[in-house]
Order: sequence, then C-alpha cells, then structure tokens
Amino acid sequence: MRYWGNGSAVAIALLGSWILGGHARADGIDDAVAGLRAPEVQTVRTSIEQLGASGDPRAIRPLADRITEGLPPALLDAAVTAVIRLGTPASHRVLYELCRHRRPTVRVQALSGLVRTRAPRTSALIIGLLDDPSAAVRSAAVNSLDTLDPGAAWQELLAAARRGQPEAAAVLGRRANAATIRRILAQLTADDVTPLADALGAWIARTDLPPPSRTAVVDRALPFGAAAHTIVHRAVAPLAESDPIRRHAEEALGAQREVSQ
Amino acid sequence: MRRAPSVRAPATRARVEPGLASLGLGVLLLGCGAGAFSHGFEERREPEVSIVLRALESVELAPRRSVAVLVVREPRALRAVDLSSGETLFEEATPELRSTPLVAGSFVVTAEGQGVIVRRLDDGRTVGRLAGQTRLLGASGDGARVVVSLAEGSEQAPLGRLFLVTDGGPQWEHELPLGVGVAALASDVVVVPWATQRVSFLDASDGHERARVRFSDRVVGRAWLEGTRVLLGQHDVWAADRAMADPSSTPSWRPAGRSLPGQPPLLADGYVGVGAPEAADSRVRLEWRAAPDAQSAVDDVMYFVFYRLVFALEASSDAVRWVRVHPRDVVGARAIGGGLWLADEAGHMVALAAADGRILSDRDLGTPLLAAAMRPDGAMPALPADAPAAEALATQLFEAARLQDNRLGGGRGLAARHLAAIAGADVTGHLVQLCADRSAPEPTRRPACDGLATRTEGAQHVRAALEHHGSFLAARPAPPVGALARAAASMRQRALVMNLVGHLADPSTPSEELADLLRGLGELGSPLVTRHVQAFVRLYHATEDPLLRRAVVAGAQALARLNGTGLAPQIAELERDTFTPPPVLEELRALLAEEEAAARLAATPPPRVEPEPEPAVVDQRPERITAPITRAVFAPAERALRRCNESSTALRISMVVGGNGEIGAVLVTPVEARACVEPIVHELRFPETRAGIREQVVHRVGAQ
Repeated sequence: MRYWGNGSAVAIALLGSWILGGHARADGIDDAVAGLRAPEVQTVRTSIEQLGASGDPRAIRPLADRITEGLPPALLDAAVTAVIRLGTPASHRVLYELCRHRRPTVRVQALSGLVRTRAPRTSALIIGLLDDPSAAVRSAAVNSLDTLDPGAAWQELLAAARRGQPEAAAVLGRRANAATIRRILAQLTADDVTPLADALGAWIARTDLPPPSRTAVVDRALPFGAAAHTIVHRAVAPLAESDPIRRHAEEALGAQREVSQ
Repeated sequence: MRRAPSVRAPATRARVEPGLASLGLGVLLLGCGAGAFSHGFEERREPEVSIVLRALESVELAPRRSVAVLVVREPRALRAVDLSSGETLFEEATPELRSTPLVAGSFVVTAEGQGVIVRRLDDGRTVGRLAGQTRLLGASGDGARVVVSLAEGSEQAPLGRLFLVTDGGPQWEHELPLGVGVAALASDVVVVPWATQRVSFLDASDGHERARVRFSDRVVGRAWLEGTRVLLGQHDVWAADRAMADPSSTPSWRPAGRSLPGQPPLLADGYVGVGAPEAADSRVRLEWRAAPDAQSAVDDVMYFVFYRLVFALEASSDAVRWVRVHPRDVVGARAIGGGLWLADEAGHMVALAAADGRILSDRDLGTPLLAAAMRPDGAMPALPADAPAAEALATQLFEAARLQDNRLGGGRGLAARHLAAIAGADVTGHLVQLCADRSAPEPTRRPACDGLATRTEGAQHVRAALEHHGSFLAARPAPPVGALARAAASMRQRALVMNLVGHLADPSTPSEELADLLRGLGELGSPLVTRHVQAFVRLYHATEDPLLRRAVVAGAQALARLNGTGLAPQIAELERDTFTPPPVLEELRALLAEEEAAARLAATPPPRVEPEPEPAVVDQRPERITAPITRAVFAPAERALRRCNESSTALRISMVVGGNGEIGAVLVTPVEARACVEPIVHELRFPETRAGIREQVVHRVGAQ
C-alpha cells in the first residue's frame, strides 16, 4: 500500500509551471496532478483548484484518487468542490461515494453537487438522504427536494416532519397540492399537530389552494385541541375579516370553544 | 469523663441538658472515669486485657423486643411498632429529625435539631437529650442502658463523645481527645473503638477504662454484638476474644472483593455521622450479618440494596445468588439468618428468602416511609405454599438490567455484568438487547457491551442485530456494531464480515463504534475485508475527529493483523504523509513499542503469519437499484400485496433502501393498506449496491 508521492519535487515543478505560464494544457494538468501529492497544504490546495478549474475530464480521476487516499478536512472540501465544478458524469460516482462520508458537511456538499450536476435519478438519492443520521444532511435533502419536485416524496417528507425535521413540514406547507393535503389530512393524528404546525398554517393561508382544501385543514385540525387552535388562529389572522376562510375558521373555533365549555 | 459542670464544654458542644424529668441525676452527678482514653494508659496491660477479652467471649444476652422504628414521611414522625403483635408502641412528631433512627436495646436514638435524643422503645419517653453541635455515630444498648457515640468538631479531625444513658438518665460521659467510633455495650463492658486503631474496654457501671489494645495493621471503627459475641471491624471483621490480646495476630475476615455501584462500605464508617432519613446511603448499602465467629457471613450472603434493586451477593465469591426488582425504593433493610427483611417507601415490610429471593412475607405498615430501622428477632417466616417458583438467575438479572429507570444505572450495570458471566445463547440475546439500548446510561450499557464482546454462543442474535442499520425515518438506532463485531470475532463468525463491512461504510454507525468494529474485523481475519479496512484507513487517516482517529489506529492494527506484517509497515505508510495527525502516529508507535516488548519477552519469536491472499472477487453488485431489480425483488410477494389492496387504485409502496439492501422506512398509499403491506415488504431484501447509498425505491402493485 502506498498512499503518497514525493512532494517537494512536485511542488517545485508546480511552481515552475506557474511562473513560466503558457504551458500546454496537458502539461498543466500533469503538473497539477503531481501537485496533489505535495507535502504542503497550499500546494495541494492550488493543484486541486487548478484541476477543478481546468474543465478537463481527465482531471476527475486523479482528484477521485486523491480523495480516497485521504485528505485533511479543508483540502477534502476543496477537492469535492473541484469535482463538482468539473461536473462530468464521471464525477457522479465520486459524489455517490461521498454521500456516505462520515463528515456530514461532505455529504451535504456531495448531495448539492449531484443536484447541480444533474446526476441520474437524483430524487431517489435525495429521498434516501432524508433518512440520514445528520440533521444537517436531512435539511439539505429537504431543501434539495424543494428545488426539484417534492411531489413523489410527500410520504417521506411527512415521516421526516413527524420525526422532528422542521424543514420537511415547511416544504410540505409550501409545495403540497390539494390531493397530497387530502391524503395527509386523512392520516393526521393529534401527535402530528406540533411537528406539522408550519405545514398546517401554510395550507390554511395559501391562496393558490382551492378553498375547500383550506377549510378542510381547519376542520381536521381544530378537534386536536389548543395547539391546533393557535395554529388556525395565527394562519387566518392576516386574512381580511371578510375572507371566507377566516370566517369559516372563526366560526369553527367558536364552535370548538362551545364544545369544550 | 465528667462529674462536675465546672469543667463542661462550651455551649456549642454536646452536653446533657438538665431540666428534663427523665434526667434524674442530671449533669451534676455524671460519673467520670479518670484516666480513660488518656495518653498515659498502658496498652495490653495484663492480666486486665485477658480478663476482659475472656468475658467478651460469651456475653449474656438481654431479652429484646422484635421491633421496627419507622420514619413516617408526612408529617414527619417517628413510629415504633412491635413486629410480633403489630401494636404501635409510640408515635411522635419529629419535624427536626436529621438521622435515621438507631434501635439499641430498649431504646431508640435519633439526632434531632441541635442534639441527640434517647427514647424508650416501649412508650417513646425521652430519657436523655444530648444537646450541642454533635453528629450521632452509633448506639448500643440492653434492657436498661444505652451507650451513645457522638462526634464534634470538624469531620476531618473530630473529637469523640461517649455517653451511657439509663432509664434514669445519663450516667457517665467521656470526652475523647480524638475521634470515637461506634461503641458496643456488652454486659458489664463497653467496647469502644477510637482513634481508628485503638479499642478501650470500659466498665459499664462507671466508665472506667479497664484495658486497651491497639492495632497497627487495620482500622477499627465499629464494635457490635452478634449473638453472644462482640465483633469489631471497619474494612474487615474480627471477634473480640483472647486472640486479640496480641493484635498483630488477630485473624480477621472480609468478603470477596468486588466493585459495586455507589461503593457502599462493608460497614458504615464508624467515625462518620448517621445519615439523614432521606440520604442516599440508606438506599445504597450493604446489609449482612457476620457469623458469630466473624469468619464468614450468615448464609454466606451479603445483600446489596440499590434503591429498588436488591442483590443477594455470595459473600465468599464475586457472584450473584439472586436479584429482586422491588416495586419501590427500599428505605430500610435488616439481614437475619435465612433471609432479609426490608421496608420500602410505600410502607411495606417484606421478608425475602436468602436462598432464592422469593417473598416469604409482605406486610403493609400503613404509611409511606422515609426510613426504617428494624430489629426482627426470631426466624424468617416459612415460604407460603402458593409461592411461585423462583425465576432463573439469568432472567432475574436481565429484568433488573433493562429497567427503564436511569437513576438505577449502576445497579442495572451490576446486573448486566453478572448476566454476562452466565453461559448460553439466550443470554447473548439479552446482552444484545441491553447493549443496543442507547438510551441506557453508560454504567448500564458498558458492562452489557463488554460482556457481549466476549460471548462465544448465540451467533444468531449477533447476526440478527447486524442485519439492521440505523434509520432516522424508521426511528431505529444503529445497532451496537463495535460489540457485535467483537462478539462475531469471539464466535469466529467469518460469515458476518460483509455485514460488518456494510456498517463500516454506513454514516449512521456511530463513530464511537468504529474502533471496536475494526478490531473485530482484524480479529476475524478474513482476507475479504482487507481492502475495505485499507480504504477506511486511507480515507480517514488525516481526520481531525478524535473518535475517527481512534478508529484509524484500530484500523491500522487490524491491517497489521490481516496482513500478518505487524504494525511497523502501517506506521511507515502513515508517516509518509505529512497530513497524518501526530496523535495517530504517536499512538501507533506506542502500540508498536508494546508489541516489540511483548515479542522480546516471549521465549521464542512468534511464528510469522503468512497473509492469506485476498481472493479475486468479481464485483457483481448492481451500481444502484433499478426498476427490473425492484420487480424481481417484489415478484414473490406480488400476490400477497394485491390482497392487501382493497381500493380500486394501485398500491404505491415507497421505501428507503440502504446500500446493503435493507429496507428502511416503508410508506404506503393508500395509507389504509399499510398495516397489511409493511410486514410483507420487510420480509424482502434488495441486493447490495456498488454505490452503497440509501435511496428511495417505489413499487406499484395493481388493484385486485
């Protein structure tokens, strides 16, 4: 097993290539590749950045190799950035691997890279990362879904929200359509009210939803008690007094209070 | 020793308060044994020492009432109950009670407010009130007299006070220049441990010191009567007999050493005040009776009370005879031949059999308790005819170890430690469960995981645990992979190596598990894993995370073992990279030095282990899960799934599938079908993928 090359010679070569400039592109790649194994942090960083900026598909393999040979965190972050910047299909394999790296920030970076470079079947991967042990990775996955189509993942988003991932409820609140809302309301329980507060409030307030969907949210949530009352109250407060959703909510709240008295 | 008030201590010091009707003699007439505890007293003076010690070899026992003195919780009161008749002897409000009560002969002694009170057990009448800033250490009595040991001053350098009180009030007292321990009243002699190594023998009638011995090889803090014998001890126990005339050759006994949570002493420190009724030391304690010859424990058992856990520990070995999970905290306990009496905070007094811990008697005292002092004389009750059979010890220990009460962490850990000492595949299953419970406190989990790591039976439990990975959506914590890996190695379960490799690559495996996981892989020695361990060490060797660094070190050790090369080549490789953190190299060099020292010590050099060549493996895993793969996986279950669908629309089954093929969270539309679909889906398994990532897989099942 051999991990590393002769650094100092490489560094000199790299510096030389920079000073002279104007070398053939292939020579530049070769020098940068050699610089990946330099003993100095700065030389390695420069080489990584140079390879990332090269746009040359040949750069991906040495970067991938250097990543698997192990880098300190700062250099690894730079290497992942370079891989994403290259954006070739060959990058995807590297980024898939990095979705299992032990450092959550690397997984987040890899995830955003896969989204940005349009890796195939990215949605399936993102939804898989909703199951990640790190809240930061799950948050990134939710946000990535928000930028794509979260429709296929409403159940996973609901599960994540129920497990306390706050962004999931927010995305459901913003993006769920009437059919999805109907399905979620059908399985709503009292335990869901607090974790789904953002979603419930958003659905009541969203004017792009048909009024029956919004009133259905009010009617389904209110029997769950004080927390639900607060959510409904806050959601309709900004609406005009004459707004039919607000009127419906206030009547329903009044009826609930009478029942509870 | 005092006779006159003119030499009394300052007001803050203990004094016998005048003015009480019961103090017939009062302060003025207190006796004073001149010369007692003085520096000039001749130690081991013969024939006095031999005469006293011979007298102590058979002490006349005064008849004693079988009694319990209870500290009633609310309002705080002292209640004495005759255990034979059930009659309440007295009850008195004691709002300022600051010690558990001590039953001594026909008296009960308590620290209350600024003093110590001696009451008669029969009617609660106060016969002595010792005022001052004192700490009650102990009391010993017979039918008519009680000797009370007190401490004053700082806890680091206490001064001792000793009183003898009768029905007619205090009779004599001593002020000691050093600390006094718990004295015993033995017929005509008061045996007084003091200054940690000395024992003085006083005439009970007037307090004069008759003889003294001094130990140089042990601490003596307590004296007490056991049957007709007087015993002495602190960290060990011995009998007061003629052999004690030569203290250097006095045989003593102590039970087998062992580590117990809360570190309860063999005997409560004789120089430290009795704890408050609600203090933890009354809930975490060892309770036992020494045999009269002081060379063993009665029934060879020591009862360890840990809140509501009661362990019967073998006295002569580090073993558990039984453990009982009591429904409530134990606030008082008393061992007698044949078993243990305990009182709990709900006011139940329960007798447990020494042999198997079964309940012999359960009596409701009718009031919640803070503490209880019991003196149940006579034999233990007989086992009821309808008593259920005792559970197997492994079951008892498992029940104790898995209690969901984090206050009991240490006791649960003790149960887990002893559970791990029992052979059997089922026990391995129990240990897997205990070790997997990440909500359990470390003192509970650690012994279970340590025990699991060395199991040699029950591979099926290890395999089953390794089949699951941690899942956030499924609310499933990661299994205890480190201990499981070491167990797999102990069981030589090479078939599990790829399961372990799957966990090595899974970020949901907690970092603290990795070092043991890698050690386990190294011990398993399968060449299949070498490249995975090598890849791990390479990828993370430059990490800044301390837990990952430990894993890198363990990984390098595993590689050394797998390759059969020792650590030196691994270190050389890591040294070549300037990014390898110095702590990693330092730790590996230290391990190498140990390895080399061990090799030098060995008579012959260890045989060189030729590394097994890694078999050529053709990776046939798919890159990712595809639709055809999903259809193939679901094919056997298709018919059953159709039966789950009572709606007219297709079933949509969405799953998160791990890189190892495990199906995590399963979400079904329509949701009504979930209960039917989920168990069927969880029976399925996808192939492992090369990408190794978790991803969503959706499968649709047409309507019936």
